[in-house]
Amino acid sequence: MNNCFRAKICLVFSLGGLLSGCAVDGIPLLGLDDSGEFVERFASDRQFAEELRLATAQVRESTFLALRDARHEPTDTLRTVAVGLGFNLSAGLGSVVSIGVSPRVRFIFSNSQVPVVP
Amino acid sequence: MNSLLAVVRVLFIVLVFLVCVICDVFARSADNQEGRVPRAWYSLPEDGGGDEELVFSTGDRLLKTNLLRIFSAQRQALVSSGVDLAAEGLSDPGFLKSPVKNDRPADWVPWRLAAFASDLAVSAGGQVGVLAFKGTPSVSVIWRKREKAHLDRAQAPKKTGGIESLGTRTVFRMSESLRGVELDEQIESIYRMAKASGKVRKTKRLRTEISQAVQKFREMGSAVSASPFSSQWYPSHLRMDLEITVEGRVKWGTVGGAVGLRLEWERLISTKSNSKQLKFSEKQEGLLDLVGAIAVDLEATQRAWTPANPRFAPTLLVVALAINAQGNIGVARASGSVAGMVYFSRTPQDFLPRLASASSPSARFAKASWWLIDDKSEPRAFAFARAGGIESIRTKNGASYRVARERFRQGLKKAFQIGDYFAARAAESASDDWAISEIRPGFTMSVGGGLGLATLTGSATAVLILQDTKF
Repeated sequence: MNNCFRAKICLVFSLGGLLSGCAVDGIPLLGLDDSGEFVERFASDRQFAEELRLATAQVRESTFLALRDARHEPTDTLRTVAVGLGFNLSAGLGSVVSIGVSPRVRFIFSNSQVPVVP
Repeated sequence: MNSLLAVVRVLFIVLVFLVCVICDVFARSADNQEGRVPRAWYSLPEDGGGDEELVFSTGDRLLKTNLLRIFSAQRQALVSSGVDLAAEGLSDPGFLKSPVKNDRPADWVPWRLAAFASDLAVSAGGQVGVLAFKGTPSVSVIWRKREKAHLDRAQAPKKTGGIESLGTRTVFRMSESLRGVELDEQIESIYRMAKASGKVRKTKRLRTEISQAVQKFREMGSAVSASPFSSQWYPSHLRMDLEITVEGRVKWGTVGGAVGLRLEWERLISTKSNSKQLKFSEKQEGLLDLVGAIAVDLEATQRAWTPANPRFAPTLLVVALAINAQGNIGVARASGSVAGMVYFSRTPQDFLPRLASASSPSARFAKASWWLIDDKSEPRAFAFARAGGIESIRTKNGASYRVARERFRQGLKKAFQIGDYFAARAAESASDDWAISEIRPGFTMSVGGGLGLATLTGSATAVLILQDTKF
């Protein structure tokens, strides 16, 4: 075997090992699909944090804009706003295929110093 | 010859890659027990496991690692997602400051993202992860932003009587002291709200129906208020859901009405028990026994429990209620039959010294029993109850089981320990800006009275809330 072929073999082993590791390593995402079957996927820590950061920033901006626009409406007694959404992630399905999943989270905005979290 | 060699090499590379993929699939499908919660945490006795008397075992290292990496990623996202309000054009004084200073509530601050909540799930096999698809959440995690100025929780504004909208259900709050003209005004408001919805066709008897339902609810509330204070836990709040039908009838429960209605009873804190002075109906006595017994069991569990992580403490237990075919109120076993909730709170610290002179829980609540109500009659659960000598009633519309207090106490102990495990991981994940302030594990109740962590396919009818006491 020449060096080039050895290098390719090493690369394939490394890639396979890496993908294999990624598929079972990372943040576990669980749930039931539409037919009630158990589903488990994994997302990388970095991707999970980054997508959640983006979702948080966007929700915060949108909610502030909505609250600012509504400040002249009869909502003077509005103290807490809860926004629920699913943020998009690409999660591992086996070694080589990824699917989109949406973990649901809730953001609680408030103008109370001691907000009640529903 | 060279081209044949090249083809062989390519085929060999493809073969190696396929071997990697197949190994991965096998590794994933193997019955790997690492990273799972112990079976005794979630499996109920009638399902063939989960004896509450088992020595409590914590999960393995991978379970801890998985939880920490979930919390770490969430913290990282929250800390780095800050938005400069001025840069976003949101530093308008009219938005950041209350328009009329004198109208500001005492706890008013500018709008901000104050908290973040996400759900963890536990599969039927014990795997733990972020709930990312359908299913029942097992543990809710509440993050809060650390802020320099905090009001003393005791100074937080008290909830008062009033109507607010919550989804499709109108919430009607009643403090124990609300009566007379104020109460009539609230009933009238509900009547007008239901009429204005346009969904109730027959309104002739509607006002009377609402008034009777409110009266019945107040009777239930007074039973809750009559239960004595134990030294650390007391039933503090009652919530019942009702439906107003198209025909203008008011029914308890959450299924099939035209207009949803939620009644909330807030108990006034007092050292006096008036259970001996008041005469209650049989159903009120049943509810009084239920809340009194659970408060006593919480107290006993609390006293016997040493937390591994003293930073987080159980502060609230929420238990779902159901009404069976006989009209008796009990704890709901399945979420489909839930008609309301009863909340058990920790007595405020500044109130505890005054309890020294208060009456201790009577012998009645130390021995009282209560019903677990299921809207289904599962043959396996019913057979388990019969075999175990658990008193049970089976009807066409479900089954009711007389709960064994000792098993319930063991279940509470397990619930405290499970909450403590998650709380310890939460305490390790705090930062200067954001930290987990609450852990809310949900539990399913067994026919004997034990508790198991709710799984994806189960239903949580009891939720224990642990709060960071130093937040």
